Amino acid sequence: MDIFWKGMDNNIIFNLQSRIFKIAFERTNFCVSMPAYNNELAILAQIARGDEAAFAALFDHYRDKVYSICIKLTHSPELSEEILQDVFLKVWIKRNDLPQITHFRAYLYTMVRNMVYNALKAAAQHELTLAAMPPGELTPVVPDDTLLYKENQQILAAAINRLPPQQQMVYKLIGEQGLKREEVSRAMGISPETVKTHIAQAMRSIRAYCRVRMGIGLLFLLFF
Amino acid sequence: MDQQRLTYLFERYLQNSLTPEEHAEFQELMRRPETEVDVKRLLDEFIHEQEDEPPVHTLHIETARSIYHSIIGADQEPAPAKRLFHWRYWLAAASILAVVLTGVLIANERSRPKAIVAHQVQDAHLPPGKDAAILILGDGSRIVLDKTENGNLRSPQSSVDIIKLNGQLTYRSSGAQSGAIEYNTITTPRGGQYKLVLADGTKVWLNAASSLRFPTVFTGEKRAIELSGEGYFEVAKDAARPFYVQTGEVTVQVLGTHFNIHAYAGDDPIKTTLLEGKVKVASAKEFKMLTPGQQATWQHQTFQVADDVDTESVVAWKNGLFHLSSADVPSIMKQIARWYDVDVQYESKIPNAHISGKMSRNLNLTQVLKILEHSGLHCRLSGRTVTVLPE
Repeated sequence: MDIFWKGMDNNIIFNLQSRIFKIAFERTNFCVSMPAYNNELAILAQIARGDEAAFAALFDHYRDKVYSICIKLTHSPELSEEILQDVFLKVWIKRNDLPQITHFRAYLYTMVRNMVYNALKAAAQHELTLAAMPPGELTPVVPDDTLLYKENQQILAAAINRLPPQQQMVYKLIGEQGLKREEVSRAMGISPETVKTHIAQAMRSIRAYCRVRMGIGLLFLLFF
Repeated sequence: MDQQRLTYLFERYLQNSLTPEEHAEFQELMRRPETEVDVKRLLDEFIHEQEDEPPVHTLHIETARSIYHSIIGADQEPAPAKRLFHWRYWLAAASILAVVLTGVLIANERSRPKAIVAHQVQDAHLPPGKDAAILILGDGSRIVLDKTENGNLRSPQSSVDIIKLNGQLTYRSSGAQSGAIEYNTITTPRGGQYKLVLADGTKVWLNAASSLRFPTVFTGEKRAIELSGEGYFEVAKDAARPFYVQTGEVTVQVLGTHFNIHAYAGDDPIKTTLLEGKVKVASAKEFKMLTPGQQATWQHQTFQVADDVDTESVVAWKNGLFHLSSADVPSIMKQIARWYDVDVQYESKIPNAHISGKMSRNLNLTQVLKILEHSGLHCRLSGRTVTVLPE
């Protein structure tokens, strides 16, 4: 499993207008193991060995703090969720390097700071505010570099194909067929809430998968 | 470059109080590469100030869970080729085509081991929910409570007895406490419910499709738990240690009372109803104190308090009843969806009916739908989908 991390610090997933999807409850393997948080070094060592439960504990410990700080700095729940995802994605992907990090907290918050800065700068360059965006289309837009374009399209296709059947179907109906949420709900025989859930999870999953493999920031424009 | 000016603009930005001119100026400064160092320093200072503050904004448990899973899943390679030949994948692929061509109802995916076929399952009965839940211990191990024998499920990690007896779990501290605080999570599926007694004696009834995260033992100056879904609480009195329930953006603080929290993710507003005692319901920016009979509704980022609410109807679920008090059709159908684990859809316009009455939660779905029919609500049941017909 050869994961090549492509210069994430300089990339931005710039999200123009996405709404937070409240996720309906479902049974999953989310582990909420929470030893008293006084042995972070041990937890980091376990994460370096690929221990998902330890990673869950780390994520659990920091997620609200990171999210809250991002909201205060960006005034955007959607962007804050994405920064949270990006930060912890990086921690997980580069977990082998964790034992070499002496001050994890500083490392974490430096990443947060850099991503917030990139987002603020991108917003400034596009002359937009992060909190209020116009709606767009649900298509991942990949920049025009033709050499990488084909490769990125393949990565995106792989990301979509690995979705569980229901999520994949919802994503394709909305993103490729252009159906509205109510139409998908009627067509698939599931509630509009469930459609919302599926599309939110699909987007997160696609985003995380692409983030790890693409060298260039993706522009996601979302329309609901 | 004027650093003071940048600092001033940054402060105003944080407070969301930039004038349009100031905003344009701020963005102009941001665009310049030479400001990068200073802006990053301002960000660092802010983060440093905020680092040790308790978070004001929090994520729903489910959102956090979804993000967590997307991360863990991100560095896994795409499904191996043999998955393509799984019958369910073909069913889904064929179904997409069917939808596009004819708009036909397609397979219900939910991953249960039984009855996952595209055509209708002739299950006319659809039994009601029952005592069912999954308990996740501090070390991540999962116990399916409805499949476990009665007895002590004592967690190896902590010195706490977890006694399971039919539909109830009781936590009892057995003396000496190790340093680590262990958190457990109990989760009910759709069609499930469970009762819990926490280590301090607090009783919790958990409705379907709900989840509660709590420490096995309460230590420290306060007692805090996290809820998603719906729970009814009878909190044990402990004046020295206030009790907090957090549900997404709303935190309920109590001293010792009986109250119900309705906090399902989705379009539903978060409702806290007080039966006895006193609670404080708080979000990041405002709070309300409730007295018995009052209900606080959190919606559109603010609280509305209603007096003299029919508290009996709010907590009827824990007594095994559906108690509808001039309930509108969507709220009735949501309860049905969760308790019977079915999907609900509307053929066209949602009927404007309001229905009142009581009926047992122990009825089969077909029986419940018959009763609702007498009140003027017409539905069609097909497989695990209920279609609500217009008036």
